[in-house]
Parts: sequence; structure tokens; C-alpha cells
Amino acid sequence: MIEYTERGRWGGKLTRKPLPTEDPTIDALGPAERKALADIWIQRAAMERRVADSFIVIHGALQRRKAPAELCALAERAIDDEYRHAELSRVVASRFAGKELPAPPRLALETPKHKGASDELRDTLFIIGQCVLNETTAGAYLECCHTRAEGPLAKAALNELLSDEIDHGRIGWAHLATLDEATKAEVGRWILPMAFLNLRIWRYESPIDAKQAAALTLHGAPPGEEIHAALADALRTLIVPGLAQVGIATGAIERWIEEGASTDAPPLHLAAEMLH
Amino acid sequence: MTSRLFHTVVAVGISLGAAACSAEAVDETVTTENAVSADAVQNPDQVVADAFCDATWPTTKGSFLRPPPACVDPNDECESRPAFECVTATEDNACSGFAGFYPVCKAGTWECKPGKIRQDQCRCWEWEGGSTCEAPPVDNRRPPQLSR
Repeated sequence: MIEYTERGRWGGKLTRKPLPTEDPTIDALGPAERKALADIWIQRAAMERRVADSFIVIHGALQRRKAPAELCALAERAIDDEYRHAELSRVVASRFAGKELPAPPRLALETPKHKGASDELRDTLFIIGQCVLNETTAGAYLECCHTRAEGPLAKAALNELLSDEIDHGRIGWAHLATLDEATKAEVGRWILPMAFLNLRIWRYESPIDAKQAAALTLHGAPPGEEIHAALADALRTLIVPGLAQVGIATGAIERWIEEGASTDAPPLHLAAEMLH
Repeated sequence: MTSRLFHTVVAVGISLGAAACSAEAVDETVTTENAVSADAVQNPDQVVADAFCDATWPTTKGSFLRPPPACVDPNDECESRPAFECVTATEDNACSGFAGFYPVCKAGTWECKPGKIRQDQCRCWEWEGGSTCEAPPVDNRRPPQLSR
């Protein structure tokens, strides 16, 4: 079922540029490598489809916060973007599989509770969590994959995904810039656990396998070690400086990063800073 | 690598928000009283604990290639991952089903468990609604593939 529409970014087209119709580097892969890549990309299709549901929530949160029309429009377009991303990933997976793969089963979305936050603050935390943390991290992840990819199809697909993710991250940063000082102070008390949970789940979804086939890197799936380095780099050089620039207290996060940004256990010893 | 992303995502995003603030009057502000619920004020430690145990937004991407269970290569004898999968087969190499199984490593070589063979060793395939090994209509040594 095609869910993206002509109201989307490319007027109903799946991508800005047509995907390569031939990719001899795929033909050169062994069957196990092709299956692994098909599995990776079809799972990405499922995850992209779930993110569309995330942006439906974000769009609602922006409207409740009476966000500027431009931001609400970006969020609404992001929903359509994710429908396209799901189909794009399915198409790529099918090319690796050598046959048309059906859309994967839908993944259920569970949103954060932010227990203890007011409804108004929760909306803002939603937007920050999904856009500032999740989508900004996704941009760094995709840039890592794209830089290492050499297969024409994978390279083109990753370029399409990355160009859209840039807008998705901007939604959160733009919203942050509109907050008053009192709300920024409140956000500062929540940002460490949100950043911790975000980094932890990104690491979990990018497992390290020392024996991963080298061919996978060339088709958009670099080794877990490289992805983990990109995730930490994104936190240190993108997210924390951005938060500081808009006036969010980053002391606790910076100390967590200095200590290695471990996600094995919550850094509760830094949590005291959250309450002051 | 990330300096370009900082400009295109973070810096541009912040400037979009600042422009929106200067262009439109904000008709709803969040006061300190509204921002934190009564529960949080009374029990901040619990708020902190709950925050670290909360759900988080699911990632938009992943690679999912988890290493296989240690039991397939308990002595770490195989240097690389196998290049094939194993499938269920009869004694005369008639294969069925599309589910692949992970081989096991023995003395540095990947092998299939008894009752299973390498996918490329199948004499023919049997699948529901398709051909059978007894009366293959065409070369059916491989599973059906739809056109690209």
C-alpha cells in the first residue's frame, strides 16, 4: 500500500532523483551477503514506517504548543517523508533479495511517559526527544553509512534519506529556540536521562560483530564500531554544543561524556545536577 | 564530518526558531508553576529514577547484525561468518521451505547440522503451491524468484 502522496516533498515521487536501475556490485555479492543486506534494509523499512507514527505525535505536540505554522508544516511533511523512506528501504531490500519483498509488519510505537512533567512540558520534551536527539543522531548515523558506502544503489538511497533527515532534526532545534527561560531550565533537568536513553537504544540497534563481512559496509551497513563512534561524536559535537547555544544547561551531559558516556547503567551520580 | 551537520541541522534549525519568535507574537507562555507537576516537586528523586527508566523514541535506523549465538562456534575457530545458510532437506537433497538455519563451526569450517544441507546443494525445491521434486515443470533447483 502506497502511503506517501503528491502532497509530499517530491510531488508523489519516491525520491528526488531516480534510483540506479543497475548495480553490478550487488550481483557480485554472495548469497549470504545479499540476504544479510536484504534483512537489514527490510528491517529499516519497518523502522521508517514506525517513525511516521512518531511524527504524527510530534505534529500534534507542535500544534498544542501553538508552534509556528512553518514548523507544523515541516512535521506534517516529515510524516510523508517517512512513508517514502519505508518504501525506499523496501525497494532497496528487494534489490538485494533479487525479488519483490512485501512491506514488513508494522512495529508498535511506544512513546516516552516523562512522568512528573506537565502536559505542556511533555509536548516540548517529545519534540526535543524525537527531533533534537533522535533525528540529529540519525543524521550522523546516515552520514557514517553514506561516507563508507560504495554500491551505487545504497549510496543513492542513503543520500535521499539523509537529505530529508536534516529537516527532521531542524524541527527540534527550531522549537528549542522558541522556548522561554523557565522552560529551558526545566528541559535542562530532563536532558541527561533523555540523552542517555537515546544513545543507549542507538547503540543497541547497531550491534558490534567483529566478524561482520566487509561487503556490508559497501552497501550501507558499516561495522558497529564505526557507528558507535559516530553516535558518540554526534552527541559531543552536535547535540551538546547546540543545546548550549540555545541556553540549555549541559553540565551534567558534559560530565557524563567526559566519563565515557557509558550506557550500561544510568549515571544517577550526575542526576543531582538535574534538580538544581 | 559532523561540522557540516552542525551547520545544516543545528545552526539552521536554531535560526528558524529565532526567526519564528521574532515574526510571531507568542500567545502562550509556560510558567514555572505550569511546567512541573505537584508530584515532581514533592518527590524529585522519583522523577529522576523514572526518567532514566522511561521509554525512548525508537531509532529511525539500525543494522541489526547481531553476532550468532556462541554455541555455533564455541571455540571461536572460524575466522569469518559463513557464506551460506542451511536448509531442511531429505536424504536425496530435496529441499523444502525458505527458512535458513545457521551452520555450526567445526575445526575452522562451517557445516550444516544433520538433516540440513547448504542451500546451493539442493537438488530441487518443494514449496506449497509450486513445483514438487517428483514432477518439476522447469528447472527448480532454486527457490522461485519474481522479476525485479
